Amino acid sequence: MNNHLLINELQRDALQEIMNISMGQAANALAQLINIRVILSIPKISMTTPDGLQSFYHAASPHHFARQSFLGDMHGEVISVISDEGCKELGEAMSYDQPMDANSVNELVLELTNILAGACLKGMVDQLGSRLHLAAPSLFEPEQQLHSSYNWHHALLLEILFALEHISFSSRVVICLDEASIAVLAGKLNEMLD
Amino acid sequence: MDRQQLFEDVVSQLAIGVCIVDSGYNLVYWNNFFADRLQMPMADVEGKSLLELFPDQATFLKRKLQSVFVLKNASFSYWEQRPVVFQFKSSRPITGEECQMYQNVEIYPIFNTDNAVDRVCITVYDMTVTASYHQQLTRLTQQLEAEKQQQQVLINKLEEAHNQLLQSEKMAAIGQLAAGVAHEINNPVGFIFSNLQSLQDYLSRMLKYVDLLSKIVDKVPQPTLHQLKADYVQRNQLAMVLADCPDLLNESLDGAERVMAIVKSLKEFSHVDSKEWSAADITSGIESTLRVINNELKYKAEVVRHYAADLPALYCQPMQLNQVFMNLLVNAAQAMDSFGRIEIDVAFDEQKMVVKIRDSGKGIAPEHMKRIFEPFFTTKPVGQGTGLGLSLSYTIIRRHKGSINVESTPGVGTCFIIELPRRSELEVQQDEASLAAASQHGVL
Ligand SMILES: Nc1ncnc2c1ncn2[C@@H]1O[C@H](COP(=O)(O)OP(=O)(O)OP(=O)(O)O)[C@@H](O)[C@H]1O
Ligand SMILES: [Mg+2]
Repeated sequence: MNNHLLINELQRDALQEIMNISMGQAANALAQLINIRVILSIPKISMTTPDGLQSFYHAASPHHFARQSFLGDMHGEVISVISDEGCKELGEAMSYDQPMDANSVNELVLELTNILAGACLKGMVDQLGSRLHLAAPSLFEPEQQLHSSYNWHHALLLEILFALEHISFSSRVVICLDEASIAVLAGKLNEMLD
Repeated sequence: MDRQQLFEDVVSQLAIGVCIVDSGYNLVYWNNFFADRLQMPMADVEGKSLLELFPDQATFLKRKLQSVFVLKNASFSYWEQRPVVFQFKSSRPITGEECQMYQNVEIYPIFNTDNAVDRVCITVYDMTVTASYHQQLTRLTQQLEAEKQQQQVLINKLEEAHNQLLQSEKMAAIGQLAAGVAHEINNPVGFIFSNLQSLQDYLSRMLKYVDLLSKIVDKVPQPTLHQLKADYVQRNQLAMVLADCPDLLNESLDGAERVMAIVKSLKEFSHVDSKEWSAADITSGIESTLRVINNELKYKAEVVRHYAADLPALYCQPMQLNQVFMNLLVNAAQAMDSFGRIEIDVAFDEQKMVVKIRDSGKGIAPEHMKRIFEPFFTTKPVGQGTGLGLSLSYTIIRRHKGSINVESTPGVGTCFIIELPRRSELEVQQDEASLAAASQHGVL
């Protein structure tokens, strides 16, 4: 797959730089909110197709899936895949009422999605000088998604992995931008490069 | 009215809850939605800590507010996961079943001119209608699911009943075949038996005659004659022949008798469907049933009989009662973990006959005692028991105006007690007639 289909090499490097910086800020913010040291991966930038996105959902162990859309001069969705393992410990660290039932695990997944999405997008948006508004997150079941009905062909994925110190837990967050928003992003990156 | 005043007015009357707190989580403003539902006017709460006003939700609120201040992004809470954040009264106090308001809560940052966030706004949406609709739907789905499962159970039962029917059809076919064969064998075996009896009679006379002749010969004083007799007897081994004859005949008679008994049981068995009423001897019914199921019993238990002497005949459906005895005896045999004992008591008094079938099997668990007469109740593995045996027996005994009861001690054994009233032929006819009339009028 051609990674440089819609953004060129220079733009891509600039975006990577922006993402790296925002991850530092995100880690700080998360440490305050989660009370546990959060380990963030270097964001991976790639292009994907509907089929590619589908394969993103395959997970061996039980996972929770949530999504959250954002609006502004760019729009898209944040998808989070959160391992069931570690949720309870994390909930305890975040002072959820114990013991946690299925409902409070769901609440935790939604809250985590909101926090992770917010943290990841914030730095990026600040540096690009744009404004985004996050809508409410919701849970979803990837099996029930009919990807044949997607009306896009390519999307830009910014993928970040989260882990926690001392707790066996993992989650992935992807920020997906559709074609129109990629053009806007490319324009903003150009402004910065000039 | 200036613009500021106008907005304030609108916000205060909004149908959603609006509440603003500062970075210390102290209350800056809340609109009528909050004030009215909590009976706390704005003036009383201004400047107070939100966390102290709502101590139950303090941890939750603090976490949410903090994330908004830190990330400068909105945060959400849904009624599905957290139905009630603020203790508002239900929006349907009169007609609703819900006693509290279901809420969606959204908390978002308010940016000041320096693009910093020093206040956040909490909005509360009343989701009671959606929630109760949703809950109704869930209940309905669960109900449907339960009904579906019940139907599946019924379908399974039907299937089992169908199998049982097939099985009994097969038995009927075998029964007919057996009846045919029995009929064919019956005649020849009959005359073989009576001829053998005659032969036995004739032979004993001939033997006496031979004996007499031999004694007469011995009396005649002619040594050559004696020699001749001795040689003949010797050559033809007549001593052995004469001694063996009665044994041979006895054995043959015995064999023929056994064949006749089997044929008789076969004939009786092939009439198990018969619902005819007649005066019959209960014990001979039990005996013929025992012969039919002998193969199932003989390796499982020893059968001990206690039949009262001078048992009167009972006006009954003999073949149907045989069916009952068969079910009880087979159950008893199947309850044996190791070789055991089955005792059959038959007794009577003026009013009734009492049949007890007692086994030394594993017994019936107390929680099953109430259920064993239910159709399809079985503890036996799939394919082995249909659970119809006892319910069928119960129906047959009720038809005789009798009762069937059970006593059981797990690990010790079980006893089934059948009491049958001794009704006259006339009484039975009257009872049967009123039964037929009732079923015609749809009472049964
Ligand atoms: N003598 C007994 N000892 C122990 N349990 C018994 C005895 N008789 C009946 N039961 C219990 O009662 C249940 C119902 O008996 P019933 O004769 O109605 O059905 P079944 O023997 O399971 O199946 P079927 O007779 O149709 O082959 C049995 O499964 C068994 O658990
Ligand atoms: Mg049975």
